[in-house]
Amino acid sequence: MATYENLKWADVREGQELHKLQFPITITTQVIDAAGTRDINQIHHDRDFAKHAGVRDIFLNTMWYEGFLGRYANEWAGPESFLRKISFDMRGNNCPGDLITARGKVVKKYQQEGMKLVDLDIRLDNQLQSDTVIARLTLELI
Amino acid sequence: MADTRLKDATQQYLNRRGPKSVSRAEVNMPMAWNYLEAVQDSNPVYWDEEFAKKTRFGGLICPPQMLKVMAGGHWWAPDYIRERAAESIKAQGDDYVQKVRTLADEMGYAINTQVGTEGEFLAPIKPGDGHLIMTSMVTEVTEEKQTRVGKGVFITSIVEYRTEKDDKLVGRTKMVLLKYKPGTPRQT
Repeated sequence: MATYENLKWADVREGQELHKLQFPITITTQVIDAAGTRDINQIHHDRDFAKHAGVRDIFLNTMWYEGFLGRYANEWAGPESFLRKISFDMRGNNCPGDLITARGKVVKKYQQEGMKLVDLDIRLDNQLQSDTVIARLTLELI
Repeated sequence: MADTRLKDATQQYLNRRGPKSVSRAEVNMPMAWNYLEAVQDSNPVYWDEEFAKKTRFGGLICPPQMLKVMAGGHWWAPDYIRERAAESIKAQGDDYVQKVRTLADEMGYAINTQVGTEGEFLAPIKPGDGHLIMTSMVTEVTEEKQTRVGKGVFITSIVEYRTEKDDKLVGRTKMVLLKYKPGTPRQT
């Protein structure tokens, strides 16, 4: 993002891979998550509650992933890109002490309703499990 | 033979829009910056007005994927505020999403897990749009299925978001909710 360059749709190839992006999680990450997404559900900030609910630890919420996946796609394609669709499945939790690595590839390049689009397959792994999140994004490029 | 009692009982409520709800805040950058802080997103169209003006967006925009967050209501509010909001919702007529959920609760599907999330963004949201106005509908209720966590039904609902300023449809979010009966996990 340092150079704010935009990827042109014409230059994108199907099968092209995105850069890798890492994000370490701490308890403070969970606090900023609750503050930023305004999701005050206890399972995301209260470790005793999480333990009694039978999960590994407090974990990042759905809306955090939406933010992170959007950041990842826009960083790859540049500031003129615009997220059109997002859909994902959460298979494993991401908790304090975990390190998330995002990876992705272009699965389709097409035009629709006057928009130049790419479909991305993005996975979030952590040090314990791959594919904690499996995401499908449609990004509009210039 | 699958149990279709909830599916059958809720047929009449499918694809019918419920009452309009209004976001707590007008679309604003401070809430966007709080959201962006959480994931450390430095995209200049969200932060740098001079830069953003020169892009096809014409100025600062909010990240589209934060639509649900921008549309949010109060987590806590004084009773007199909650009561006024509840009355205003009730005055608009039936809330079909609520009817489906209540029926599901009555049939014992008491535990909720969100299993899927989708968003579709038709236009950027930005300061000046005013409040966001939401309407919801249930689009599908399945027959009862035995899932890993319990016997349950999948309820799909869609929320549509419009701007107060010009009633522009800016996006849709779809949620698949699994509601299941406690104590009925799949036997392995």
